[in-house]
Amino acid sequence: MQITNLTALEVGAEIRAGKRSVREAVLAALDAIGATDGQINAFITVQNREALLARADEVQAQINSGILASPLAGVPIGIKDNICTKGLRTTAASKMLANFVPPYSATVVERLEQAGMIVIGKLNLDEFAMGTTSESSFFGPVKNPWDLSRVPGGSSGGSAAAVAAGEVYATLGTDTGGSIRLPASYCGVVGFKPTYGAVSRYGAIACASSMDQVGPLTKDVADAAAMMDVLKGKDSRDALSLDLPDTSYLTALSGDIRGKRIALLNESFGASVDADVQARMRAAAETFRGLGAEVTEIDFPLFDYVMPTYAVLANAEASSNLARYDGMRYGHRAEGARNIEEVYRLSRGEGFGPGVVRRILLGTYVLSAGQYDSYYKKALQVKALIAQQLDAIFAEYDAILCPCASATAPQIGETLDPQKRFLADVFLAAANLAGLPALAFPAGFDAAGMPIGAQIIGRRLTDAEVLNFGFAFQSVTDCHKRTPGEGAGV
Amino acid sequence: MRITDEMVQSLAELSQIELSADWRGSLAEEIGQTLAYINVLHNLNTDGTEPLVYLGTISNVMRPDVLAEPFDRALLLQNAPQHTEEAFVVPKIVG
Amino acid sequence: MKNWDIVIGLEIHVELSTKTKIFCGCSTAFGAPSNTNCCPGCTAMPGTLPVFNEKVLEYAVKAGLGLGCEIQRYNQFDRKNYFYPDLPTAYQNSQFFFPICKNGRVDITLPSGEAHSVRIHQIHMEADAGKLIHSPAGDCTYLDDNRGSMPLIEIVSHPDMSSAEEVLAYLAHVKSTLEYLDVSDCQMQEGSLRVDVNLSVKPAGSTTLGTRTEMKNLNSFRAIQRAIAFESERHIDALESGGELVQETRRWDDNKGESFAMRSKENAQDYRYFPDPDIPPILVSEEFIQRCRDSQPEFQAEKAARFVADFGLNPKDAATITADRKIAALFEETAALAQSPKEVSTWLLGDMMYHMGDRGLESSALTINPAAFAAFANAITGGEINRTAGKQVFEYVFDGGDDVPAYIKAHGLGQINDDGAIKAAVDKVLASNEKAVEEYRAGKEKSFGFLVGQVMRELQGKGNPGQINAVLKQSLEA
Repeated sequence: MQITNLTALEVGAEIRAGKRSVREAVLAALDAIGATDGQINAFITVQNREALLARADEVQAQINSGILASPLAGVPIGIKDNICTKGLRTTAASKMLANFVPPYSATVVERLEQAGMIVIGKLNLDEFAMGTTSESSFFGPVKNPWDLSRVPGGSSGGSAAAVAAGEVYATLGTDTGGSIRLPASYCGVVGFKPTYGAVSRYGAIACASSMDQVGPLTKDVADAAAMMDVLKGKDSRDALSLDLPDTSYLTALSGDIRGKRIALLNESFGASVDADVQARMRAAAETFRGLGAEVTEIDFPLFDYVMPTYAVLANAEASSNLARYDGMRYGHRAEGARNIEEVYRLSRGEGFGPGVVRRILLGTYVLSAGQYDSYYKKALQVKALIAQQLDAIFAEYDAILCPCASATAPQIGETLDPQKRFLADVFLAAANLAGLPALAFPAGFDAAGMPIGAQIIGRRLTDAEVLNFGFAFQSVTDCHKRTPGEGAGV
Repeated sequence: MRITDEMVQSLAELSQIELSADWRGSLAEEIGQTLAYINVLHNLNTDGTEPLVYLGTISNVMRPDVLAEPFDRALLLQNAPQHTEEAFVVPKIVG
Repeated sequence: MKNWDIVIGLEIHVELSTKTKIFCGCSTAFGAPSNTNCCPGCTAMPGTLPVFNEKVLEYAVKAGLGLGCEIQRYNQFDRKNYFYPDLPTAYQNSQFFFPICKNGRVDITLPSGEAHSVRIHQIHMEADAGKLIHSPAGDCTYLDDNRGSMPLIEIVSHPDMSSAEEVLAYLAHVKSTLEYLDVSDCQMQEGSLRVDVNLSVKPAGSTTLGTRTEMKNLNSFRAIQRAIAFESERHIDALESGGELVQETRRWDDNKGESFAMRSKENAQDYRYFPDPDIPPILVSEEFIQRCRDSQPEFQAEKAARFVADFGLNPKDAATITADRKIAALFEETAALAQSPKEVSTWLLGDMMYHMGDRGLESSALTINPAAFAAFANAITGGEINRTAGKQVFEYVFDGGDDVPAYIKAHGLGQINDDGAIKAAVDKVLASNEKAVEEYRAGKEKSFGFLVGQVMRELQGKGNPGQINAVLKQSLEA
């Protein structure tokens, strides 16, 4: 069951026009979650109904009195559960934080609430945003609304599934190595990872600080641009957030990409890429040509170095970022710990799942005495070369086109060896290493009816332009309008 | 380099994580496989390449030395597994 | 001792006197109730981020310039990863790869008058850790993060010292420099200045350094002196008896007067330093360095020399007065208004120091009004009050009193300079002390002093001592 087929902007417009009340929108979302989420498991925590209705009335009053100008005022949304919400449990899908109630809200949450959006609840993910399937959650795996036997992708699996299943109109995810774009691709929705620094990280539980970005998952590109208008810009609490011009990304969507030069990565047609995915990429290239863009196939020679570099840097930073979970000031403390050493070892041993432990140990290894130069420093050097190569590409092209993933969503429980785990992110992590804006958008379906996502990567700070490529694509295609209800899913 | 059980144990000690003995062996193998994958980095010559730590040209982001509003102590303590009205409480630490 | 050379280097941790912490807006005030100077940031709540306090950079650069260092243009913070309950993030933000200052040098004068130089290896900025408070019942430990994330600089010297005397002279120089710069209050008791002593011993003249130990928990000059004496003797004993020394960290117990090895982890610490991705680099411009240089105050040595030249102080008094920046300022302001700077220094070094010690006051707690102090000194110089009455008037000035003439008048402390009154008192004393008079005339000089005292007593302590002497002598010889 779906709230409605409307997009976030459409329902926002209806609310402002008085055709629908905020209360109705909120109740519809709660009903949809009640009907669907037992199967999908996208939500870890849903806000208390009374509190939501009180908030809906408050927002309604502000809309009626003209205080709220945002086109998204009154729209029900969901927040990935690694983003702090004051007074509302925030777990990072870990036993470690299963009962953690933040004493403050993330900047992005404050901004969405100031714009009048209604936070319905907190969305499931891979534990501490580490994973590509959303199976590692302490609160159980998320299911793909298109096919409940498949994963939704990760780590923002709940964020993508909730939009795809029509539980809420838009969600927030976080993307460190593809965690917004991979589930967006697997669930047939739009996911946008902004330029590093375009959106404040304050209050988003750190995974790998140098690459973490918060971004929206939505039904279409216009909604993503509208969300970005609320989210983006300098935050004095995140030193790496950027001062951006106060121009609207939504207003900048023209759909005109005539004369733009797109580099289509040859790696999109590599041996490990599914035939259906390859076919959709060729079709996407044609669509862009039809819109007046010039599409050229190019090589990305350092492609094979992206994942190893990412693995070193992401795990090293994560090992340090996750050291604070020690059972002292908050979080899980082992019952049986008799002394301080046991509080550390047992609490962390019990509180973290196996995937997180594996990453912490690997990250610890690459930073340890004697390994720093050959792994960590080496990875920073390769990162420099990758960034240079991308700069060289962007000297000639306006955007890079490639798939989000080599294949559509795999089955739940399909054992993945470590090598394959990395392959899931192989098209995605370059944008994180170089801090580039990247958009995942639906580009069709495979033979089994599962969504395939395409990806546009742009130059630093060309977020609006990247969104415009997707907007242009969606103005002449309609695969983003298909919902699981009409396919093989729920 | 082969990752041994002992190395895994020492990493676990450095990161303060209790590991079950039977998991240690399979972890050593998994971490070894991942490292083997990562080791392709060594095929690339990076001589003379400056490590890239911070992206872009962002620097000197500082805040003025101005007091913030005091934060409610009760909110800071509320999530502690054990606490008094004033402080977090942990088992006795032997200096 | 003469067979061995002692080699000492210091690591000095200094808490900077900024209003707020290094990475958040919490207060740095000392002595607040537990965890009230805290926020989600300095208790390391998930999702929080550090934002660097610009004042910390300014103070670190000023300290570096004051200690003769080169200021490094590129700065970044690195994470030093280790677990301890007083460290909520489980990493300390410090500068491992690019410290703010390098290659400093300070020239000091030893009490013997001999000159000595100590080279500074580096100064880096870092965040302090919180405090552990052990429960009275001894069953648990409380964590207080008030001190956590306070800004520190760590000043690392080369091992250029060979005695406690050199160490104390170097430390006093560093402390005075930082106080003059107003970048730290350097209160050792409150822990805002903490010293670790690295010490080793080698055969006299040898160029190979011996095994080094690091001593912590030294919170006074006296403790440092005793610790160096104890530890060097321990090293020498071990070397002479063929015992073995271990490179280790030791804790000084000032009550027991001994150092003890700290419990060492089985694993040698591996801090896994790496650049902190949450803090963008800090580039220091030449203009900024120049501004800091231009704002440098006159330091102790220059000031002491000037006091000798301008106010005629002797070098020892000048050194004592300038050891404390606030006392030096008080002296200078007062002396400028006084007829006799020497009179000011006499009272400052005498009665003022006595009252400070008696009441346990730091110079920062002084409430003396320089104009009142000068009026007081001038009253002494001008003979309006004598020294005996002066002690009472000075205490009034010490307590912040600002109307010296009114106080003297109100308490009837004005000096009696009237010859008639003095003659009357002398006559009275001579008449009632015949025995002393006889003894004096028999050649017992001491009796003269006794008689002066009696006259002064008769005049309730207010008589002009010079006049009493003259009149008494005249009367006795008449």
